Amino acid sequence: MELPEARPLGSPEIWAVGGGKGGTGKSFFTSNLAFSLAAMDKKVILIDADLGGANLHSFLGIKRPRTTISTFFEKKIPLKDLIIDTGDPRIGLISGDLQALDADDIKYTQKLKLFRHIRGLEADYIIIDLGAGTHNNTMDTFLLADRMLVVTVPAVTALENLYQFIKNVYYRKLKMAFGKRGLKDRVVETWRNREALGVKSLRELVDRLREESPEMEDFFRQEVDAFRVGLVLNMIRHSADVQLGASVKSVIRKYLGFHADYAGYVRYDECVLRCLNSGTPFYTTYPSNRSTREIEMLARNILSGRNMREVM
Amino acid sequence: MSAKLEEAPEQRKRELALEVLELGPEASLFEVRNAYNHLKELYSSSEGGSIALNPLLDEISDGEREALLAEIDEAYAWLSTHTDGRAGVQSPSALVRMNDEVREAIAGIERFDGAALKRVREHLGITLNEIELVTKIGLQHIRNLEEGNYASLPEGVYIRGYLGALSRCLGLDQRRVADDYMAAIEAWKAARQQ
Repeated sequence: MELPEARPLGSPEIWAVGGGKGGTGKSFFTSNLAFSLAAMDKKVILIDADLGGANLHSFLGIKRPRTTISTFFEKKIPLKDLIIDTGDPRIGLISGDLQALDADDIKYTQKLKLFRHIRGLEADYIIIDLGAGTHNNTMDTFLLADRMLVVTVPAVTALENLYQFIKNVYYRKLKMAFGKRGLKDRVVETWRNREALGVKSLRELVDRLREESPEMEDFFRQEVDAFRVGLVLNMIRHSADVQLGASVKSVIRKYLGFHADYAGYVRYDECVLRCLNSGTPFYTTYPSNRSTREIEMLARNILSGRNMREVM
Repeated sequence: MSAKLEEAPEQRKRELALEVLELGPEASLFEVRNAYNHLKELYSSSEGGSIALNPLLDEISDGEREALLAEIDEAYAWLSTHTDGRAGVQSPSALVRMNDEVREAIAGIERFDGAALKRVREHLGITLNEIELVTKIGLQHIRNLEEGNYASLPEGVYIRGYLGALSRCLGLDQRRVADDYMAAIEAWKAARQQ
């Protein structure tokens, strides 16, 4: 895989939203993030890449669209022609499909073509909702984003999945970078022999690989040290949950070995489900709810790279 | 691992300590203490602790966890003596040290009434002025809270707010303090009605 090139001036910034578990609110978050950015006069295009659950359109309050991202692969129509009107001129949607990015028959070259088209879209921000998948295509898409965001909830099962997701992504990044220099086996072998080598965690794997591969030092310095994930804590119900975001950030730093930004939290709000079921967009229906304001705060934090303080 | 801070050259010590406590370069003493309390609590549990840590417990040996805790202690010990008691007005000599003695004293408190809050504040060496500066709560309110002048306190919802801010300043469990204190007020009210 190509290392990401410097983004040419004027091209959109790409954000990817993942997290490895269904039901944590990624689509909710993605759609409302779009509304927040639009309210700041930014032009946003959403891409629904959620396998087996493409429902971004529902959160935007529009009917299931007919053209989807599959059309790009099947009919070779340019991506920009697949952007659907959402009723808000600042927000466009490229809808998803059950097949979308999962199919093994999407060749690597097609994937690159997709990413090129994505970069060529006219927007300030492109937000890709990856849904709950952990397939290779999902991880590759996640890794190619300018900002990687994960959405989780204060439940131990969600956090288990989250850590697994990030570990898989990170491991894949390692394999691919080493693979480019013909050293992929080194990563796999080291991990396979971890018990004998006394490597107990992903962090230790990275440390060991770094020690043993001075020729990869550039990669470690530029790519690995710069690896940052933005953490969004959704559906919180107690003020104590706010601190959980800071705890997760710490655990990721200390045990997985890289930086996470605690971008913010959103409290549980029953208006969300009500809006979803009645087909109205939450953000514009309840612009003054606390949860809505929390999403705005999130948007600002993600834009500025700021971290949430651990106390509310 | 705890040898790292000791061995590091002086100029690097602050950077390393801040990294362990996951703080930015401009961290104030209050932030240092809060970070310490948070991390200490987070990594102290082995079973049934924070759900943030539980999923990875099988990857982390007790020995590693102990080593991390020692690192955290060390970082805090260094930072708390090398950071200005930043409250603007007060002199830098208002340094705060959270050591085992203080922590034990706090753990020994059975009920967080005003007197207990005052004791904690004094143990930590924080002045009323510093509390006022950081929390923006008026001096008189804080005094009333500490002296237990319930009659002079504002409405319930404000008291909770003040208690929350005060707890955060002192690094205490907000919920516990609020529960204890509000119970004390209820008891006082009930007694008055008799």
